[in-house]
Amino acid sequence: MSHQRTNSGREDWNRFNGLDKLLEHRVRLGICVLLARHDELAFSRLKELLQETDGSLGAHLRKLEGAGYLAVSKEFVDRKPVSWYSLTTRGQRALNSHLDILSNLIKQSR
Amino acid sequence: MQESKQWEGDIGFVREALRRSEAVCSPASIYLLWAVAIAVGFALVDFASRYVSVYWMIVGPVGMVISALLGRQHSKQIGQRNKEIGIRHLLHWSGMMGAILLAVLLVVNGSVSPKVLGQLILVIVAFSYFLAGVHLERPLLWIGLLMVAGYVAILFIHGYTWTIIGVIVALSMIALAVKGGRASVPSAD
Repeated sequence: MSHQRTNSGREDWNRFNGLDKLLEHRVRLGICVLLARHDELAFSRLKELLQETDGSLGAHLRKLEGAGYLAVSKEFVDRKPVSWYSLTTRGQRALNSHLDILSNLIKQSR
Repeated sequence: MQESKQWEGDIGFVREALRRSEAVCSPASIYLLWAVAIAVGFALVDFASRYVSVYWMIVGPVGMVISALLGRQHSKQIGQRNKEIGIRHLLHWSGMMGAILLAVLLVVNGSVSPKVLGQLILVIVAFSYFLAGVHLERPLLWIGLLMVAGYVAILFIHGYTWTIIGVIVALSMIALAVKGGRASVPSAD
């Protein structure tokens, strides 16, 4: 209950400050930052880097994909299907804006 | 204040993931390829010097192409593609090849002897490896320093020095390949 209240308070705070609601979760933020650094990452690589379970990572990726922040392409590597994720221009813009605001907020709160 | 701490925690989490993503080295196969090429190429100087130039004219460019293909394959296998890093590697090693070709002109116009050219090329290669260690992947820095030591040894010690240096460099590269192989990441699926 207390955890829910904290999360809800944080969401309100983020919305008030113009932070991107989708990127307020550390895993989704991590996905976007990793994809901004590397052109394309496979599902298994994201899972390994972020140390997430298949289900959890899949849900976060679907949310970002649904918002148009990520593009996905399928390919066969060693006869196994691999999903490659990349950041779209919209995702890049959203990430830049989110990080700018976040950085200012952290500076202000110190 | 509490939000700020939470954001800092999130940023720490992301930074750690980013650090892990950047701790990727070239595949062991590239190290092994050049270990063999260097061991043979350096030994040729002592045992069949007339074949050295032909050997490196073929093995140098072909080895570079094979390395690029192996690197590309490795990116696919680990599930991480980065065009910028690929281009950085390509420019670095092409720059080394360019410097070697320019050094060869010194023999063509008679400024230096083929023997001196060999030593000059070793210095170029040594510093290319050293700088690759500084800018691309750290283990190559030690290979570069080893080659610099080899260059000094070749200047002052005579008798199969090239062969010995080639074997030492090759063994170091094999050791790095084994170490890198152990630390390698699972394949993409």
